[in-house]
Amino acid sequence: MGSFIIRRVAQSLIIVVLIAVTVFLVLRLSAGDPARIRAPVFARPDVIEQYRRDFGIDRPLIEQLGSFFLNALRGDLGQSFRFQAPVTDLILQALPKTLMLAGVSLALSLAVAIVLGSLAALRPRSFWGWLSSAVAAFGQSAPVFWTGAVLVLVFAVGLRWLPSGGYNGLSSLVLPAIAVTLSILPTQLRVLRASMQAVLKEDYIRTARAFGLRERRITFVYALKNACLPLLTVIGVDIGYLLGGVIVAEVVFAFPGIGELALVALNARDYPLIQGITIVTASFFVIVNLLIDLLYTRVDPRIRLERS
Amino acid sequence: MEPVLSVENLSVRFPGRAGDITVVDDLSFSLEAGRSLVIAGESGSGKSMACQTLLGIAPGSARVTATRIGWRGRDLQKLSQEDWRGVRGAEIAMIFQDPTAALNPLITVEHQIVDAVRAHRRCSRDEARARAVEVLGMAGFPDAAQRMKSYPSELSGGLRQRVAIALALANAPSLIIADEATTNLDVSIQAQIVKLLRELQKKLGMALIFVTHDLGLAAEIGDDLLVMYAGHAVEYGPARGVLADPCHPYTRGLLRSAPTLKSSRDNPLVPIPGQPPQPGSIGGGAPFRSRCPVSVAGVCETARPGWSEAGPGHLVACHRFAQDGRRGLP
Repeated sequence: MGSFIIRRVAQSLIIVVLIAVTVFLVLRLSAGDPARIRAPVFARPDVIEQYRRDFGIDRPLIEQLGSFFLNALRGDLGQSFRFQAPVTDLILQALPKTLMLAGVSLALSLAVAIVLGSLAALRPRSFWGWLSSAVAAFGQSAPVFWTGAVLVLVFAVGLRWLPSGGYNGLSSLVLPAIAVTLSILPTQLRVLRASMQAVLKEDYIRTARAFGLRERRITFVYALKNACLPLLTVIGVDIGYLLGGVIVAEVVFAFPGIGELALVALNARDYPLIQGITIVTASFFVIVNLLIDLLYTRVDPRIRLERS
Repeated sequence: MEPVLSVENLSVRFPGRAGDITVVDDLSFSLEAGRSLVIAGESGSGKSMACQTLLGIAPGSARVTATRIGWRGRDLQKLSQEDWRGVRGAEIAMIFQDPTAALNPLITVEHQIVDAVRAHRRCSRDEARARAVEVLGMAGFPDAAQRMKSYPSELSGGLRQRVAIALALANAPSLIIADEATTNLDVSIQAQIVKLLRELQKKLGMALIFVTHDLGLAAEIGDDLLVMYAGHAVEYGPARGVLADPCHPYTRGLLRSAPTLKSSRDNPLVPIPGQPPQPGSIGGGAPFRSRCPVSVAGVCETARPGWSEAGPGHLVACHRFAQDGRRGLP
């Protein structure tokens, strides 16, 4: 078991390093010459050369990569062109808000998926079954930028209940979180409903019933524990959609998180910042999947046994 | 003595495309406190389904009808949902066929037994835990206090079956139904489990229904024996009497087709020809007629045989027996 954790953590580290190398190289190949981007349009060649030396891109690529990694290890991801500030500081300012938005959306989505999915599985022909199908179909077909815009129109512009954008405390979180939730909910809802339906037919549910356990306990402990295993896998995959959705929602709601920062960086061809953001979000994806893998072994004793 | 359980004219039907399919037809039997009944028959003979109706856990689509399912002075059919819940596990408990599937894989043995205890008794977790250790000990589960913290997947098949037995004992029920409880086990463990069940039943004074397809076990564990074929009771009586003098062609065929120590090349096994009928295809005649070597022409096709007495308390449902007695049997 211990060796499994070490192996899994080591794998994740390697993946993060590979991501960093790839991002570094791809940006060097595609973003164009950063000195030309930064320098005034009609700058003299020696000025451009000066910029090159400042960015360190006059040196061979391998050397650049080496110093990039050495700096990254010390927490230095370079200097943003656009903001003239350390990339690390910019990311650290924006990241908590993004994580909060992503976390709230994920929690909301899981809560709805579990409650609504279970009810729909128990009584497929009831109102809950219908509602669950309707929510899943709607969420699947409506893109985040559209639901976001509609939410703003209805609740911010029309009803004036909530702010339309920016960040002034928790109330600014509500609309973007609902928009993101609607985009990640359908898969989770469908998976939980289907797995719950399958689990409810299992022998051990009949056993629980045969020993006089109360239906609520049977459904929400004996069945739900088993039904949640596929959901856990889906979350790992969904983190990608979640981050994508969060970034779109941040742009729609002018929410000052990583997504908005990324958009500014892209428009300004601020490639140290783009590079930093890409590496950080990709690492986040890897870390969450690592955590889910480890969580799996906590939840399912059969996997623990297999891997030890 | 007044029976604790008396089942009268129990039928279980499932709605099918071409009308209802009957899987248990007009079954009646009774069981006195502290006695054991073996229900024997092939797969699909309706024996498991009959037992599930005694706990009210037959699949939702099943249509259960009976004149009466008497249990300690009450009719189980008339219980409310909450009263049913009070009977399940507390008064009547079941040991299921496959302990691997019947135990929840994500909940520890301890937790499952504690939950079963606390479903019926207001007591602290610690008291319930003490009870779990006690019943696991009774079921022959070694080192219970420690090992009950295991998950079912961490135990061997034999141990899992002991957990299932402990679970059934948890609330000291008056009746335990063991549904093919030893079928999935090695023969040696099978013998241990059968012995254990018999001892527990005697010691605790419980009634026991033991469902099996192995008539050989009937002699070891049963006071009474009920032989089922295609949803019908075909022979019923004291186990010794029935096994010493089987009077239904199906019971006789079943005994001849099972290996014993006397089986040899000169004394070969005789299989019963043909296949059990599809559920619902029997119609009104004798259920065994299509495979019966001695069916009575013109009678078995049309009339359902009633009980004839073959000995003290020994009943057989066979037109041939009713007509010719033992002389006519194969």
